[in-house]
Amino acid sequence: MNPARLLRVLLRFVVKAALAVVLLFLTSGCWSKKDLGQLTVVAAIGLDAAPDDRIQVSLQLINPTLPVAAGGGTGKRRAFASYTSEADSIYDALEKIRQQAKKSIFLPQTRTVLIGERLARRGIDKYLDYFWRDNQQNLTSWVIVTEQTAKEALENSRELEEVSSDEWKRYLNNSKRMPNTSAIKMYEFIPRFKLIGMQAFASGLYYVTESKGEAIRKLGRTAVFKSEKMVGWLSEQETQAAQWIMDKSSIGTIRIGLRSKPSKKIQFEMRKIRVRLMPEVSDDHAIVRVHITGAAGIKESGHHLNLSDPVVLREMTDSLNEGVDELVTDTIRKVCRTYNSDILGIGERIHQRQPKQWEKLKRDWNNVLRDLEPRVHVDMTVIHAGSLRSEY
Amino acid sequence: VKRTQISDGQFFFIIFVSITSLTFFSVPTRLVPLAKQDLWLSMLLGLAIDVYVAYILFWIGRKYAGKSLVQYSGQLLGWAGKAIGLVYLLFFFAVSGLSLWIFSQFLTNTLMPETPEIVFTVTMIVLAGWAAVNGLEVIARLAQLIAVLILLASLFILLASMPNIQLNYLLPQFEDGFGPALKGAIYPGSWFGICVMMGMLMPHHANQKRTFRLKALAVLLGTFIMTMLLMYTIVVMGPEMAGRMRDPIYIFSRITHAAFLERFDVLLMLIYITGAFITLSTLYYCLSEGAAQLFGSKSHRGWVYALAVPLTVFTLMLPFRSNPVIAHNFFGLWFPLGALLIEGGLTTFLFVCAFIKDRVRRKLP
Repeated sequence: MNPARLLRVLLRFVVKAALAVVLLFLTSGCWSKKDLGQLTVVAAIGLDAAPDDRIQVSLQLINPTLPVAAGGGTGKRRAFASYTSEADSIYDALEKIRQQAKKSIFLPQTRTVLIGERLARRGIDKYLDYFWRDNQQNLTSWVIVTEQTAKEALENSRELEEVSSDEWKRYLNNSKRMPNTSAIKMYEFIPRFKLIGMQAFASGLYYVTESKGEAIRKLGRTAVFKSEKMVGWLSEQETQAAQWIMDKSSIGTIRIGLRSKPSKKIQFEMRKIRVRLMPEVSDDHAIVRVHITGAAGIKESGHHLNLSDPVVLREMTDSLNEGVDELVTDTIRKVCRTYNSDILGIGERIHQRQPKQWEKLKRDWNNVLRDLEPRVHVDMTVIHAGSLRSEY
Repeated sequence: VKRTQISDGQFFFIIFVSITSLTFFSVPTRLVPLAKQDLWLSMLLGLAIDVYVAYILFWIGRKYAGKSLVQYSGQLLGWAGKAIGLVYLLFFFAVSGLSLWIFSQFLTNTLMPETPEIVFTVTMIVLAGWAAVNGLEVIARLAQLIAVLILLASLFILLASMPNIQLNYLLPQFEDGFGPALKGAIYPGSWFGICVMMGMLMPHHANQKRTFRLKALAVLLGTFIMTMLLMYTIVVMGPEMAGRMRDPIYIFSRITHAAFLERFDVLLMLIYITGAFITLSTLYYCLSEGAAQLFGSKSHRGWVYALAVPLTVFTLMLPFRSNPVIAHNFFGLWFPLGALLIEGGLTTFLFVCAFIKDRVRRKLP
């Protein structure tokens, strides 16, 4: 190869290599840089009612702990910081918080969105638009309604984990927990405000007073919404039934007294619960047939049970079926009649299976729902008695 | 003149990549709110329209072997044919501009809100132009690579979202009759129809006997992937929410989580950006080669350079950039109808002419 050509090849190589190295700098992006030092991750958003139809927004911001090698880990830093501000819109309030925190706020990692009960009862539809529109929102964050203000819930953390919303998220994510609370994510929550046959609900967060006067907060119950306003709570037992009907959970617990000895209760744990929801509609009236099957195991019993005796087994199974029947019927009545809200999605079920009927029913759905007649049939199997032999 | 030849696989994947990436953010915006859970029928009809166009293009292409769409329309109808060729070229030009606009707007809206749109437009034109200058073979080879990426990533997203699906959302089917789904067919029909660029690619295909079969299969695969993504979007979010979002597939990818993997939107971006690159390079290549053939230039390269500035200006000057009313009407009605008229109508017209000419020629010995 002659030297001139060699030089040219070499030169071309050097130019290309230099270009490649320069381009490497661009891989981090030349615009929209988000400097980690300037960024604060939002763990939770809290929404509360403020006077004059305004809204109070609280943010739980994560205060990152430095790794030990970098000099962190020993000092006592708060794991999170809370900021609150009041404004006419969520956007405005967040802008004010940005000024307080002097940092840019990173929303896509939000674990939970807390809504204060007062605000929920006042109506939230106009604030939800923000969550539809803003593309920095995490649509998989969990929605929780707090009995106290969301601000208080975010500030006073007594959870085991340092950042309380992390713990709430893990709890709601855990599929093995009992369905005492309705878990719902933002993307399932917001479209329900646009539907009449499938209305919104959310988890509840409230204080339970324990000994020594120390208050512990608990995730449980269900906040029921009717159109855009919260109308009431379902108890933990009722929440279980609602979760089965909505096909969100297949496990549960129940305490039942035998017919012959109602004072001595037996605690059952149920699994593989399957609910078939069959609405039957005429022009202005609706019946909903609910067929429930499942398997139950005895967890604790107040008295001796001889399960090898067919009479005892029969009686126990009957009592259990009755108990579940009562629970489910009461829950459906409470949701449909007392709260007159279709969180169970019965209307949507009719819409899906009998669209023509739904066309007629939907205009007057709330009235039809009020007179909805649940016909529940339960068929549970008692499968095991724990480590005891069946005679005991 | 020696033509670049592309293999069966390369041809297949160019078509596949083009139609998937082109439909990603153009079709769902209109189709999902209109047809909702019935959209599979719209997609099927779109596929049928496209297979029909592919067949007639194949038929003419076989009669005029080695000639491209622009060349044989000129040969067939003289100056009127040249005008038709020009219409096709303008159509390629317009689609390039529109998809560039959708591409840049999508990226500024979602991924990089502070970057001006012009940056995406210009970089894409420079890159696509670079690929187009280097010719079809380069694009084809890259398409093979990117197609695998698209297939794997789509599969991954679909699998990961399995736990979130609620099949009930697929009901009721045809609640308002077949009307919405039939009307909706114009969206996939028109955007898939960009495959009239098959008429430009066919002369480059090494094995032209198989052009039609490969093209139909590629569109089938593309339609399948897009339909699956859209149906998953609906069974995960519900038709109500999917119908309200501008980019339902993007929102779907943000909702999808699998174990510790939480940012599937990045994967989707990867598919979309690489796919858009292939689509635009191919369009750009067809456009410049067509122009070269129409105006009798020796090489398409000059046209690539010459068209870069007009394309940028066109993309940046689209009248609906700042006017949602025009954009709504344009993408909702005018573009699909116009596109169908050119892809379906004009091509059918060419076919009828070619058919008659062929019959007449056969009768006259």
